[in-house]
Amino acid sequence: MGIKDKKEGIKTFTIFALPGLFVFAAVVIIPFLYGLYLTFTDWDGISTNTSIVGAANYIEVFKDAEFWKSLLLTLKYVVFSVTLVNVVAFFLAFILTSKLKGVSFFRTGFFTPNLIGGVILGFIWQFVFSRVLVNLGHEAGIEFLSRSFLADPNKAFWAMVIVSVWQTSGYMMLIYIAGFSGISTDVLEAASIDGATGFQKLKSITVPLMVPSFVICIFLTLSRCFMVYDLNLSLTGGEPYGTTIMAAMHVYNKAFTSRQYGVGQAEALILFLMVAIISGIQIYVGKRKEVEA
Amino acid sequence: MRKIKKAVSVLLVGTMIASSLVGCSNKKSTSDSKDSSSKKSVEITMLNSKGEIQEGLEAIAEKYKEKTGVSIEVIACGAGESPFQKISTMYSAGNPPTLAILDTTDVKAIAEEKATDLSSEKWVQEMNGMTTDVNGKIYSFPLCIEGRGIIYNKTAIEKTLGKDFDPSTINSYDSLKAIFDKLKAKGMKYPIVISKEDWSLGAHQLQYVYETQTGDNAGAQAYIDKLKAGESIADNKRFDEFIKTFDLLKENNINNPDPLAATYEQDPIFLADGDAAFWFNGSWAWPNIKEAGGDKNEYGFIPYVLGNDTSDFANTKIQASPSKQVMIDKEKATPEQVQAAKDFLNYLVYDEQGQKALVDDCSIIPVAKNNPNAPSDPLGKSIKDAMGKDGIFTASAIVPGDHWSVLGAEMQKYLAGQSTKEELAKAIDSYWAAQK
Amino acid sequence: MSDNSIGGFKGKIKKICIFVVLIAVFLIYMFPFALILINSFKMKREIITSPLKLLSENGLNLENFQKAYEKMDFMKAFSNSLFITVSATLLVVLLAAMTSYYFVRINNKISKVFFALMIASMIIPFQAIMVPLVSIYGAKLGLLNHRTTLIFMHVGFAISMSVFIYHGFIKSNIPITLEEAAYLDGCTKTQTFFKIIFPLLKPTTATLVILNVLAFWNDFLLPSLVLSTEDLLTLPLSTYKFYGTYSADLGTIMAALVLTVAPILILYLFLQKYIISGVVAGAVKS
Repeated sequence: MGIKDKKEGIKTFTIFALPGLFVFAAVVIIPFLYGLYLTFTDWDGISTNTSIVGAANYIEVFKDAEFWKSLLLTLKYVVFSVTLVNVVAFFLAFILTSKLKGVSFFRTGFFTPNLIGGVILGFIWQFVFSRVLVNLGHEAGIEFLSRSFLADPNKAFWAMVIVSVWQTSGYMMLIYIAGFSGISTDVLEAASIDGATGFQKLKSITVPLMVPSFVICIFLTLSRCFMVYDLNLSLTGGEPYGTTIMAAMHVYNKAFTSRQYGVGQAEALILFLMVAIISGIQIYVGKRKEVEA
Repeated sequence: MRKIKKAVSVLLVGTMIASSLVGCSNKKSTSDSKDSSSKKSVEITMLNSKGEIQEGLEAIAEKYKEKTGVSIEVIACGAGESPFQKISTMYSAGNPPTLAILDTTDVKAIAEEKATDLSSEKWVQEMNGMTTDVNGKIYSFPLCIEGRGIIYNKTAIEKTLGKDFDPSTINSYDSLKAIFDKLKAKGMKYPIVISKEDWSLGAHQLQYVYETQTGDNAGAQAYIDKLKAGESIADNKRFDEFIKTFDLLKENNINNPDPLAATYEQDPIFLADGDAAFWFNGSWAWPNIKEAGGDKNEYGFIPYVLGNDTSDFANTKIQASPSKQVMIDKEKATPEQVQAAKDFLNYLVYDEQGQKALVDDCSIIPVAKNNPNAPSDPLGKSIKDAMGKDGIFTASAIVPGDHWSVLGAEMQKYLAGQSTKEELAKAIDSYWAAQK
Repeated sequence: MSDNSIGGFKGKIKKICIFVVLIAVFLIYMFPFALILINSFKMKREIITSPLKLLSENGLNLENFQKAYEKMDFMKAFSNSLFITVSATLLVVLLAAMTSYYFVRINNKISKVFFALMIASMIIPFQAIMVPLVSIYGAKLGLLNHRTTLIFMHVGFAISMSVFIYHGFIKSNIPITLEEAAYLDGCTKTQTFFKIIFPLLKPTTATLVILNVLAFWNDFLLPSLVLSTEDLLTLPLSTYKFYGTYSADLGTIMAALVLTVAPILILYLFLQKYIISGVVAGAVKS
């Protein structure tokens, strides 16, 4: 798709990129800029009278110790969830692209958690953690399980991680599977003929060719985990005693429960900036390792 | 290759149709909005933030349309959405509901700017003074009365003790402790259910401290002002009494040893099955008890006893106050719509059909004293009976929107034994100190 | 991945081990879903007291399904969801494929800036733009309460991720030699894209169709902001009736959930075939 002249270039741009970029700008960029403007006002989310307050909201953010606490917790949660989700998803995809009986059956099964969302997901898992496991613990005499996960700040955190892995790994598995399918079987067959073992093939052929999938999946899990809200709300609700409130939930509460819309919006932007920097680095590093076909 | 071609062509045709629709959305919408405003019959909308009466309200709307031709669309506030977020986004979107059912604190925050002044409406006199005053004016219609206290399962108590139970004998800390001990002696291991929800602990229990200062709104407000000014809650007699009672409930809680592992689905089952004889909750809990299969037992409320003075109103009366407020928009609503909304409120207060529908379809306790219909469920009836014989106090503290969640978390900590009375008091003090 | 080449007894044992582990993991993954299915036949009290019981005391009770079907106005909500999901998915897949193709092949400033913007936009918390969004499209443009507006917004929010995924695959898996050959045959850019490139993207497209369909089909927050009229409600919006402030009608919710996710499961099973086949290798050979 080389460009011969300027006119041709504009035409190509108009046909290929403009429609998509227009929708994107209209729905995401413009509201985002408007939201940015709102952080410099004292708007409460509903009033018609607002005035510009400069950086006052940002100063509030720095004073809001709860926000930084929730951010730190989110960071910890991101580290564990992103790692676990990707490890699990990669190996599921690896196994499920080999010649095995019932592959499609398994794939469907691993994917189903994505079909359940919201309040029901929370209810089901609440039940699993507060009853099923507790019962199991009592009957089998396992002290660790006999107290509910959700009543202890540390274990409630792990409950969040477990459910995230359960919920997200099927989704990422799908992307890894697409990645595996993209790898030409010729290359692998050639390697086998040359006497490469399964592990060698995985390490020196599959993994490098899978870099785009890794970049995508790590990025997606990073952003999803940083923004975790639904699961937080429905599984722990921030409990016990507010110890599992993640950043997005804090932001929402700040804006709509404490009615400090400007501060909540400013916190959302700071959260955004942090994630942008972290995932920017991740993508930059990842994209450099991509092999161009 | 043929298959692929086919797929691509299907995709393309679909996209073209879809994009042509997007293309004309602009024109379509303007003509739509013109249509609706030029229609003869008035159409109004109502935001409902009380999920459990959604179906009831839809039923009322249907009856109202049949009667008057005015159609009311009932918009629900989704699960997990806060009413304040919903109303904010609706105002931001430029399509606020004509009628909005909101919490009292939300109405206080936005009424002056957004709501129609209802001070001169006729129904104001029917409300026993239980309207919400915002700088001398009334902007909202109190929809229902909700009462809260300690729910007892009379059937279970009598079965366990083997003799009649008279709820009026529970009128002090000591008498509550005595009946707990008796029940325990007869084999009921934990006589009460304490739900761990932050709204239950932070709003419904803790707020007794503010509300029992004098038993009316002015007293609650005056005390809150003192807290904001720096008075410590630890110096208050009511706080001492409250903690003492709370400790008693905590010790006898069926959700021990893991009080924070309680679930709101299981709690009513304990009460309905008679595993516990009491549950701290409010009149809205009836559907939960009924679904738990406990509708054959007898239930009622006893006060949240504080201290041992049996003549103290806190020990003889149940807290009950208007809980949801209906305001009428003045920003976007046309005069016809405002009038239609006012007419609808009058229908709920004065029309026989409206009065009955409010009680039967929504199963709520109406605030208006002229409504002759009694709720059919035992909890509602218990509150209504208490209202009839001066058995309620109506103080309802107006606290900031995040009070229930912030201090609810502190109460959870205390419930789980993770903080002391002093630490709880300190957390409450610093919460109030931060309020402007 | 062809363990056959190693063959023999050892390979077989390994295979069986993998299979057993897989089944164990599979059961864990399916467990909550199975809970929903078996509980959709029970009444609320039974759900809470004995959720693990396979069959209700009253046998196979379809009452919940009937209630959910009627109260959701299932057929109407289903057709709304279908229309919105299908249109938005087709649009987003097509626009994203074209945009990302442009980004990969034309390496100019616009490409770089917008690609970076799109990636960055994926980490904007939705809560941070929802109020500005409704205030622009509602108060200023008066476009809310139309299905087309929702489709437009769905596309806008989903396009970044789809571009991102296509971008990676086009870059790594689509050899530029193919296009050059097409140009030599006299194909225009548009023809080349639709005849050669887009078909090659099939595994990715199938994946994206699933992911986007899923997101649009189940989304609650955005549709709840855009649509408020009863006849426009989508499936998730129509189930709110079963949630109260203090209590939820669990049996009906479970039944509604089963009714809502069944179509997606069927679609997924159907599309799987496309995801599996390694199209690129085959196309290059022929």
